[in-house]
Amino acid sequence: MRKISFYLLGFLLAIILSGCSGKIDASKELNMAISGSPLSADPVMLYDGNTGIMCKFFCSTLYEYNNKKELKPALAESYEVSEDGLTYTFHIKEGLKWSDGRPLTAEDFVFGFRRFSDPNVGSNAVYLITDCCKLKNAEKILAGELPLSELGVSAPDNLTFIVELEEPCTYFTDLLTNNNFTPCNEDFYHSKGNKYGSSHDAVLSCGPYILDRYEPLATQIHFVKNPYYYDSDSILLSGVNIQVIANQQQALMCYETGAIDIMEVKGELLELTDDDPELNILPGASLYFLFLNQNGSRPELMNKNIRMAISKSIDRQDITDNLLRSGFSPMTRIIPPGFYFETDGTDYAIDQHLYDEYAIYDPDTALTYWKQGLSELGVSSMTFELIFNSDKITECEAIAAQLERNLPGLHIELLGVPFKERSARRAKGEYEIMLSNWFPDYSDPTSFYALYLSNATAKSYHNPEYDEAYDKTCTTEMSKNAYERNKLLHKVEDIIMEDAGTVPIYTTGNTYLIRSNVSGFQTPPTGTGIIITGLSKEEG
Amino acid sequence: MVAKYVPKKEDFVFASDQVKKSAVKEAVSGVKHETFKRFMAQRSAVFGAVILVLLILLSLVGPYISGHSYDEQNLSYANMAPRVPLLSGLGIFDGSEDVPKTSGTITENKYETLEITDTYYLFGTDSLGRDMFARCFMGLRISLIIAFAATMINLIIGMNYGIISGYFGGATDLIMQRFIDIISSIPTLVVVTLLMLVLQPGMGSIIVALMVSGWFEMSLIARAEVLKVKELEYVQAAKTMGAGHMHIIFKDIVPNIVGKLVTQIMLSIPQAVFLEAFLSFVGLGMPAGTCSLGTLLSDGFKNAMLHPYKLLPAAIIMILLMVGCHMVAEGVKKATE
Amino acid sequence: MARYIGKRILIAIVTILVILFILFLLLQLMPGSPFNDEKLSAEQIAVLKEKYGLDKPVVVQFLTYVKNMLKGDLGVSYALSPDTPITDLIANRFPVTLKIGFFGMLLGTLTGMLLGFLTAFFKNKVLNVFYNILTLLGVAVPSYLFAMCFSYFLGYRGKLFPLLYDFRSPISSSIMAVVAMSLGVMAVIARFSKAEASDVMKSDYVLFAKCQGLSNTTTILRYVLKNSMMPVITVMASLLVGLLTGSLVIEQMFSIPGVGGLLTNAIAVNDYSVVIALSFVYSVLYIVVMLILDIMYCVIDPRVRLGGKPE
Repeated sequence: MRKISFYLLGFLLAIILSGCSGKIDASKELNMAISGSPLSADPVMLYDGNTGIMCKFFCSTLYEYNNKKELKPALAESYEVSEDGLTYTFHIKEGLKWSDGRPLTAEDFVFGFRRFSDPNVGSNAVYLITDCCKLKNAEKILAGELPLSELGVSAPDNLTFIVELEEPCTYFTDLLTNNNFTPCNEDFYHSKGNKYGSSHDAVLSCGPYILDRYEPLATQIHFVKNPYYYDSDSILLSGVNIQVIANQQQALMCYETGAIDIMEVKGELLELTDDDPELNILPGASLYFLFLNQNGSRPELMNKNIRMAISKSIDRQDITDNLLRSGFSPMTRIIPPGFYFETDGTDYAIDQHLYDEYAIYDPDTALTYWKQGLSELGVSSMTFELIFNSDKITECEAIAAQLERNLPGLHIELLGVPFKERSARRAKGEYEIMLSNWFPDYSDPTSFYALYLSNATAKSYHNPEYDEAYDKTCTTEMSKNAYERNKLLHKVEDIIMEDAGTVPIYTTGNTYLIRSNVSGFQTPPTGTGIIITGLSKEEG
Repeated sequence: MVAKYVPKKEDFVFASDQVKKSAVKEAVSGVKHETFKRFMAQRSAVFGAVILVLLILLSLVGPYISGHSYDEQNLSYANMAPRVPLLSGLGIFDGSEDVPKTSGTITENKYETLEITDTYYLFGTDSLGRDMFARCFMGLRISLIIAFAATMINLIIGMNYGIISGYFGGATDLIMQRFIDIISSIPTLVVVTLLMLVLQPGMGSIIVALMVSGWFEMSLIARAEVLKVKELEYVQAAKTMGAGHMHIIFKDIVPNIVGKLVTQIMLSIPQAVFLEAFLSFVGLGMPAGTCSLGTLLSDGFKNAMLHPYKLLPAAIIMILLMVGCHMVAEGVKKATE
Repeated sequence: MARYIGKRILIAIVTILVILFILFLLLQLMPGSPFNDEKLSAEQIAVLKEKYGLDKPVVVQFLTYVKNMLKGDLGVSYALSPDTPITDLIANRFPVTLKIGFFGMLLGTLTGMLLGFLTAFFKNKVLNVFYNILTLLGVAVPSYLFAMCFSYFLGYRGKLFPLLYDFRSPISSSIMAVVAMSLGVMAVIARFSKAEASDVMKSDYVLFAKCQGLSNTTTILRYVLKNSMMPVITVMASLLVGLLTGSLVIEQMFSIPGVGGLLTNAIAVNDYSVVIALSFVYSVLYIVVMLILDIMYCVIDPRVRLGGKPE
């Protein structure tokens, strides 16, 4: 027994010592931290920021933002659009190859788009092809009424890819930067059976890097440079390592010890980094807001006075100044600044106080609305359930406390749920009040406005007047007259804000710590993820 | 010369009830007294008991004595460092804190910046400006309620199960023990996790989960003790004299296994607190908005590096509770052996 | 002895069946398990039904379920990584968790025994204080608090160890996790081995050995150590559970790609099928380890070996 334990001890020591000496130099690769595991390595499932970042490394699409944030053809060479704005013909670059060397053709796009529209695949992001743009027959295919082959995509030859739309879409190429539109090789897909996207062996890469290490719920994702990438000369890193670190504090300690080069800082830890020269606030246009479910399940929320009272009793400034800090600013309208511009170049949302009358914090007016609403409904108290992503508990506790303090008789029950469950509840309309977060998928106000259409996923707002105003901006005629269209767009926002149909709360930029020897780290103006081209790291 | 004793008639008469009672009482109180004395003789056990009494007292009055309520938010007073009256004059616990910014550590005192130097938050405030002192002891109260409730239910179920199994023996014992063998082979972690998935999150569910996973330990101890005590002369004597099962179990056996059970109770409470905290960490604990030691710990954990005072009080309270319970358990064990 | 081992094995098998039965029931009741997911197409449901025999009587269903689980077909994930076989999810993670758990247990047992025996043999005051503090801390502080202190002081301040698990240097990057997990084990083992050693030292045969003129060292090495080490095996099984529990939080802290992290994530997204499958895996692991320790003890201990029963 004694001998055995002696040997075991020796064995243990030997292992520990060998482990210490066998360090691998990770300093030549870029090390980046993300806060949660990506949902899947199957790009059509992309629906959240973390998956978005991962996909940008190994996927590529027809159009992409380059390192100057200009929208440029990527896998496409050029495109033509028909007179009516409904048919896009893309010319694919010649000689494109997948990461295993097989050629990448227009057929792969057809298959990729079809998978995205396949109801059996069940992507949460299908609103991109049913709401944001209307890909021909996509809605019916998703409802199971038409076969996949009826989707408005075709490939007359290896280098030509044609997409048909049901309505003109002025921002279609911008929309295509989303990696849900990445091509997919049919032969490879079928060779993997139902395991496609479940490990690094079960995906092919057409982007700047090859996915080298991935498993579902990976804690570490590794990429190596893709020699088959069409623009591989502009890819400056030999490898990229993504670490999933759920705990922000652990991530910050890693950053400070040098194990991590890039991390997003959120919440309270901003207090530690707000004067750090390596803290970068990258522009972004993410909006946090409350969905008030007006589908009739809670008649109280159908009452405009109650909604107005809720909106006007949230002290947004207090929350952004004292709780959320750098990078956050209060919002009283649904379009954040700096993301869409008028024809003369001024910011579409330059007047952030345009709707203050309906949404700015004002406890006295709120109380008046509240009392009026209560008397109209003939009740003296009500309880709502506020649903949110589990990690947003602090913000929601603050919001609930403000509402309960300012509106006597209101009780808020908090329910933190995982991201997936929240999306599911949103899609089914099973919620009362929900804190939601939206980043635009393309640079156009409709990216936000579409959230409140009667047939939108959330089904929170039902107003025929709103739907009608929205539809007016989507005509072929309007797609050619941006000035007039913008005017109509403003009217859409007027309707919902005057009706207090939604409660905007705050907007956030992307606050990143970026080590000084890393250059070229940028976020695209729309969509998720980061811009890969130009990303580099100097040694030392 | 030794005088020969001639037995008298009175010697063969049963003692009067009064004499019997007083004798038994004396003996019993003697034993109790002796045990108590032996317990008090151990410094560490007394120390542990004092800690526990103090913690329980604080859990009762703590949430009310700081002058701030445990759930009142004030965002402009968020993240204040601890400031204690009297001590603040000495330059410690005066509300200043070292903030380890990435660009270098700075010292700041939010009480002075906000000009509220006459306000005192003994343990500081959390990120929503709630008083940590009131929250910590409110959390302790919730955790203790959970632990006590679970342990008491465990005790009742486990003790009865163990006594019945041990006392009656034979086939009853065999069946009951096989059942325990099976139940105890399922890891606690699995039982608790599965139960928490089925039940709605909340205090009741945590108590049920702790109960389901803990009662059999109690029963094993009770059974082992019963098996020992059952064979002792006085129990045999009572049996011979025709005492009923209930009488023997509750009058003769139970008092003798109290020591072991108290030890086990003192060990179960920290286990329950531990598990409650663990459940909070994996997201199965008390629902959002409530406070318990577990939720306080897991919240404080998130930015302990930035504001250590958000984690430390809750962690210290929990550690003190553990240490106190273990010391008392050890003391009771030694005193009753 | 054979009879005793046979009985233990039988109990283990029955336990596994009972657990399977409970899990089977849960799987029927839980929302969002693969059996009642409304997102499934009629086609997929038909395939599932055939595979799990859902159209047959409940007893047959249960037997099919038992057969599948024992074969290692643990079902498919519902939310974490839709339609991925859970076996695939676990395959890469299980070795990582086992390795870290094994080394945590080993380190804790060795240091615990060392501490316990030394304190029992030398009856040194300083050593005793040291023992008291260490064991008290070991039982009073949850392993994740240790892990946090380590990563702050050793990893962040001292820059001695990496803060995260890295597949490129798996051993050095899991040292802190192993040590943090071992401390709780150490405390319990130390207490137990000290008590055992003290008992053995007071026993008649040690007294006899001393009377025979054997030196203190020889007695300790030859008799005391051997006889007090054996019972330590019995507590190891119960410690395993604590280790599994601790690993859940610790794996997430250090981003270790193990089963614990998988379970925490599965709980977070309500992936019942994964939680249930992992419950099965954990239970089997625990039962098998208990069985092995039981048999080991039985082989080593002459009282049991010769037909008695361990108390």
